[in-house]
Amino acid sequence: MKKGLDERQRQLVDRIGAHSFCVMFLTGAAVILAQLIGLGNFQAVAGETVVFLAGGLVYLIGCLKNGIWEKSGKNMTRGQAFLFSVICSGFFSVFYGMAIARKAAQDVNVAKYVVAFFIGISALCFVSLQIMGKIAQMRREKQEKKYSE
Amino acid sequence: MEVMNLKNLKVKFARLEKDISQTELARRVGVTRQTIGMIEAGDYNPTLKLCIAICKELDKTLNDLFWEEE
Repeated sequence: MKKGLDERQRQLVDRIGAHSFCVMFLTGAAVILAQLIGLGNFQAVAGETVVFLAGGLVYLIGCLKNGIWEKSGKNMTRGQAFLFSVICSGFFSVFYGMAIARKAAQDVNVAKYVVAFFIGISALCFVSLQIMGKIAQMRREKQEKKYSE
Repeated sequence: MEVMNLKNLKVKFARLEKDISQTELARRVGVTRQTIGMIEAGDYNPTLKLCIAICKELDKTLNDLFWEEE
């Protein structure tokens, strides 16, 4: 009798692991956002943030090392990266605005901080997407050369 | 996916020709009986390595057991 898991069971466990990570990641993100909006205290979400970042970084680095970036196999165009950055930044700016509005004094104009956050995060996101796309492309080219005929 | 749902009766018949149970075939190729059952039911696509191991045990070629007829 085979000891341990066979190839089908290992594939199944890998798929289960991937789904579980996805659930943990999204739940972690939701919990962090909810706590930030509710408590407005970054220290309160430090633990969850560390776990969230650790899992996210391991996943990201693993994909980039293997030249995997887009599901389509091709890199995002600059336009797509810009649009994605703006949408994501807008989404998180809303939560940021809600979090700081709770802590700010009555006469403080939080809008300028939210706009600064929006612009900063958009720029950071755009640059990050471009860099990571470039890294993935370089890794793919390296693999192409390694396994060329 | 249509291909995955086609039963692999060739594997089943080749196994029965040799008078080997699913359990015995599974033991010989190093997988669980359920995996052999799922291969025969068309619910699992084995790796090439496993296909070759099954062919060796049943004295058949890859074409005999795993080639899809049009």
